[in-house]
Amino acid sequence: MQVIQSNKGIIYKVANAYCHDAEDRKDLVQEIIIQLWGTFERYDDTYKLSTWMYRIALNVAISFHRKTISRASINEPLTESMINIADDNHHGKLEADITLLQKFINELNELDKALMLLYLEENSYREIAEVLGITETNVASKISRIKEKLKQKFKTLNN
Amino acid sequence: MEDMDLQAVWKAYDNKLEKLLQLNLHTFEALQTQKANTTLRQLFLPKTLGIILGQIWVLFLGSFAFFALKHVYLFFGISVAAIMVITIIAMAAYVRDMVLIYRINNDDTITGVQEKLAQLQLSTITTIRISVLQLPFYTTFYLSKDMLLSGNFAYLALAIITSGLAFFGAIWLYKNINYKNIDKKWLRSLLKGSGWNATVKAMEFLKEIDTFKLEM
Repeated sequence: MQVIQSNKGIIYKVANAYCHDAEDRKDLVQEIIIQLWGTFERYDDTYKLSTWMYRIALNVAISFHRKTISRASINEPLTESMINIADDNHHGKLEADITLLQKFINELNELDKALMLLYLEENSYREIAEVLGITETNVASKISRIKEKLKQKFKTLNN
Repeated sequence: MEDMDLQAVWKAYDNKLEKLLQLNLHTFEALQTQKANTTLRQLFLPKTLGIILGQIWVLFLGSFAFFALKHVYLFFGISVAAIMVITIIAMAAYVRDMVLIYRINNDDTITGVQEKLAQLQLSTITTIRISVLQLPFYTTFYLSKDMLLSGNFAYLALAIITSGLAFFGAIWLYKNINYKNIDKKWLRSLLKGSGWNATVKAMEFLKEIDTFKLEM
């Protein structure tokens, strides 16, 4: 319980990246917590706790997202309100950058999104490769490609 | 925006979340045993039902084959027995799926878990692929030794053409109905037309996972 409490940010960041509807997001957060609870006894401490939590949270979120989109069968366009976590006054450049970064991450496909979340959490390429099940070289080339795209988007919007 | 900047923005988001989030974990306590793994367990019911119905069908075919072979209706008996064997193989695929459901752990790699889940969604396709192999045997059960020895070439030619077409058609369908061909128009229209959108999405996702795993 304490572990979940002190790492709750991970759960919300993943839920927010994969679920745009506020009600569904609550269900997803709940599902992630239940899965963390259920699998905690199998936790292998050779992994960082946050990496292990990301692995479970991402798997649950991707499965949930796929289930939700096939249920809805529509792709709703993203709006600013969808990517807010709670009512908060957006002010200053940093706030604008956070919103933009969230928006860009939301636009990525399920697997690229997982890759970027792990990268932004400052996991090493080796850790990211282990969580995703791909090679380190592949991680490096994908990250550099996505980062390039993000930088271009930031540049276009900031000019 | 540089690498460090992106991570700094993300850190700021983290700090913001820390301030905004109120997580009442006590509300989850009651749910922990109740809801765990429900999503995966839901997949069990249709597969169990499939296995039960399959067993009834196999028993029915088995008794037919036994009766036919006992009374020396060779072609009929062998055809029904072959259809029965293929049905058993299709059922084995369902059993394999059920084992797979038990083996899926969300703490495995993302691509590994998602690949298994998408494959489970495609199990109906796997069963169909195996079942199409029965097709040629539906064209042979009416044959008999007397008919073949009658010397009627028109009849022989018709039997060979029909069975040959069914044989090659079945092999072709078995080889080509898979997620790697999901971009092919014929497969998309075949599946879309029958309300199989979830299956098409699972196929697309498997292809996406394949591309993601490719080093570029």
